[in-house]
Amino acid sequence: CPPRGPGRAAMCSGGTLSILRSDSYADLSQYRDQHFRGTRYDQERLLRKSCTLYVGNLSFYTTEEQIHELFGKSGDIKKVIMGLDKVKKTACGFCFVEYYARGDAENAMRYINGTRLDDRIIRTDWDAGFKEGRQYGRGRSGGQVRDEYRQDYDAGRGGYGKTVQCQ
Amino acid sequence: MSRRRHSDDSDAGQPHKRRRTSEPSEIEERLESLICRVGEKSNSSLESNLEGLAGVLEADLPNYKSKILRILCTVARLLPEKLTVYTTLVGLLNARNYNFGGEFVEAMIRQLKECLKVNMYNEAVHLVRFLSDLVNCHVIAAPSMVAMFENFVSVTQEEDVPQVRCDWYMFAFLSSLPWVGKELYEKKDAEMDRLLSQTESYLKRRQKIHVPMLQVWTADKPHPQEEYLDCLWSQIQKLKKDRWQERHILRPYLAFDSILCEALQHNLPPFTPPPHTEDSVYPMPRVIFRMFDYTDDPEGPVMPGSHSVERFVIEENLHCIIKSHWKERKTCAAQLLSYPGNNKIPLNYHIVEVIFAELFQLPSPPHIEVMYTTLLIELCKLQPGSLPQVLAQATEMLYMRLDTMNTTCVDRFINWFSHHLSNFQFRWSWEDWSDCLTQDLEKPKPKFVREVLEKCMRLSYHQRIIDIVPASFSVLSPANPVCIYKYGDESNRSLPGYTVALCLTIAIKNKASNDEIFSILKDVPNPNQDDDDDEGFTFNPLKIEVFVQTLLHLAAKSFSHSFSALAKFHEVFKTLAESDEGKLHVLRVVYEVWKNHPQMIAVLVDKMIRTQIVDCAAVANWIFSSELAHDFTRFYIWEILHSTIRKMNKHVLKIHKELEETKARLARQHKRRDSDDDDDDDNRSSDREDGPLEEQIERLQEKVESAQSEQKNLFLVIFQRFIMLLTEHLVRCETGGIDVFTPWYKSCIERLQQIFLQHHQIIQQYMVTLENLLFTAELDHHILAVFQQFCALQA
Repeated sequence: CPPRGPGRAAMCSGGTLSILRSDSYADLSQYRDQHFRGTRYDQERLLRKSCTLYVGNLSFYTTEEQIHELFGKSGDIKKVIMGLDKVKKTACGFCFVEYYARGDAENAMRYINGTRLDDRIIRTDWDAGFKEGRQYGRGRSGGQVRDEYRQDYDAGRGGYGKTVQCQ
Repeated sequence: MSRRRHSDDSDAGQPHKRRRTSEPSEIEERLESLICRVGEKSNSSLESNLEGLAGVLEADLPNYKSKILRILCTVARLLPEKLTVYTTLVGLLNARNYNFGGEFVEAMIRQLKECLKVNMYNEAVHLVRFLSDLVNCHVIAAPSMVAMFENFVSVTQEEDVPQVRCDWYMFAFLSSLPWVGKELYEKKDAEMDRLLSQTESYLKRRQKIHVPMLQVWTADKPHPQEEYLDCLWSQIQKLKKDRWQERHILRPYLAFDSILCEALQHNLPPFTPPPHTEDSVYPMPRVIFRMFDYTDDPEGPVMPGSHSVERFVIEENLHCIIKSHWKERKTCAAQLLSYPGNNKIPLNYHIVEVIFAELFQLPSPPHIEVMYTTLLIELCKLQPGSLPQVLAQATEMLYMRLDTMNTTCVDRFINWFSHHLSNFQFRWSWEDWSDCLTQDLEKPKPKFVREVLEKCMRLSYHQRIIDIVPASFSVLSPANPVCIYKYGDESNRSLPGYTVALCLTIAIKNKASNDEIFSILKDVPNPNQDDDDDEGFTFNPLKIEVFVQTLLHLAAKSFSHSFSALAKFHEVFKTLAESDEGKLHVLRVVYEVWKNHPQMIAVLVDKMIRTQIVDCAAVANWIFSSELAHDFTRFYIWEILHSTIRKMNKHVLKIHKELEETKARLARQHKRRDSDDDDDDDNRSSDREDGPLEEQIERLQEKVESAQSEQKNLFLVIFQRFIMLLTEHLVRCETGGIDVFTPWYKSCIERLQQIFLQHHQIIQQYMVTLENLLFTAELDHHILAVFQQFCALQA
């Protein structure tokens, strides 16, 4: 594990304690976008200073307004970009939320990630930054990859997975 | 067979170098981990863990003494919830190594002085408490601790110092007594009696004008909202009456009494409190939040009374746990629930009370509001059989007391409750609250339910809210958030501007440019002037109306559509809203179109400020305008105003930061030049180098001054408008002989208080102006009282 720097300067000579530095909800996850153009190093550098979050497991019916209301609780939102089905151009269950300040995004990771929106537990993760094209699902049918192969029935995400539907 | 990795090779090549650089920090990490983890759940008893750790540390002292000192000082400062665990550890170390004990005490005093110098008063209290508990561990001699407290209490005799300074030293003394009162009284009862009597006289003479501003409820029933020092004093008096018997605090050192009493004690060096300086910023006074007493949990263990010292200790420790683990919600919840004494105290009630105490704290909660919502959800997950019921009981109690709850706290209650419900499918027994249906809609209870339902709708959708409440609640249900387009119907064709609106609609749908829009708008007559300027760009309310109505209607589909529209036609907006009246009118039209959708109004106003279509002062004037009088007490209005003020504040900070950074760059440039230059010949070239940066600094300086002036103006406008509005009401009531205290008045005066409290640091800068210009002696005493309470906060 990479050696940490001195951390945020505490004013007293004692500094702080590593158990109090723990911020697991705001740390980078294991996920790395495979479509990222650049080195792993570049990607992680961007993730560490990003103000943008990926939000997943949304219902297809969740609106930008609902997302704005919920994520607005951790700070001022610069932009919400809804994830779209590449073919249908309709919402396909994910979005990006960009804050003006990273601290606000961190608070969203700490307190909004893993709670409910439209009765679904949503998941947030750091994103290296929105680029045109990234608002589209990468599944073969146009939605997200996870909706291609899943076997369960999810009323908020188009019912059965695409491969199941095609059977 | 696995491939040998490159790192293995280098390892073999330079083993010593690698080990040498990683070892010291590894050891330090190990030591820190050992020390921090002592007292956590373990298979062995706490006593044996402490004894083992003391042995390990004693062995490491020759090589790692300074590290161990540093770590112990840090845990004393940052883990106050484990105070007695660490004082015991230090006691054991002192018993084994007298010199180390002395060095530790010296290090603690140095750390205390540093904390006081940099205004870290909350951490300084933990250090003082730690030192006092060291008396119990035979590390510090009781008389020298009493001497330190004598110096603390004598601060109350200082002249021309802020009361909050004396308060802090008093608090540091009193709040240590639950831990060490018994021991100090046994050793030095006469001195302690003197100190306590000096305390009593100080507390009697100190002023408490600030208290009403910080109380969550204005009523004293069922629980009085006591000023924090008053409450603590009552608790200490009761403790003294009980002969200093205190049974709640876990004292591991008692088990080691035979070892510890053999140890030699150290005397604290004489401690002179550092003098008051201009830069000293002391903690704000507080009011103790109480919502439960022993009658609320008749089945379980008895809740310690409000003036019992146990109550103080429990609350302090629970607050400290939240402070330590606020970033890690699962850990925080687990630590709260594993607070010792679980079966002797109704822990769930204490936890819920402490969390609401923080959430409702005035001026602001210690942590971001949303943290408390998520923390409570985590607690419900860990204790599904008991915590949700306590939370429901608390919600019910808070609802019952809405009539006297401070408006700012009601805001937070609304936000918390609606967000909480959205995580539990909005399940609630709304019928239990049907009493509010018979009340005037402006009364606190129905108002609360309306605002909650509106927030619930924002987190879901309109029909959902209609479905979750009983039919009788429809009068409180939020409006369907649809846009109102005045030129929409053929029946409106007689309205002035109707045809232009149609024209505009077609043009915009056909992707017209800004110029085309301008030329269409040229044909709109100005109702204000008979002979229009040739320019046609002076304030023309009808032009604004037609353009803004039409555009917002076309872009009504979503926030993103509306934002795109604002961006695309930014030029048109800027021109139409060039004058102050223009800006105000734009805001009026936005409201007319979107009055059913307050959330949309808020995001549009935000965007328009950020893209400089309107400025902050315009928003302030709009909020106080007569058009908005009907919505004046609605929550969303104040969200918009405070968001506006925050944007202004952030803007000033941002430019200031830019200025400081540029100054720093110039300084670095000078430094580089000074160190490079051996001969001081070419002064002109260095001036040339500095030129652009110096210019930049000058520009930024101007920018900062202009922004600060705009910021001050914003606050002055807001205060002015409040004063006008409130004075009008007071005069009307006086002449009409009616009671001043209507629901509207309570809301309005508390909104004024909220401005002071939420932005107190900035407003402190304007005290002289406010005193001389606005809050003068001629003002009605009701309004002046708010200003005086605010002044009292840092007096």
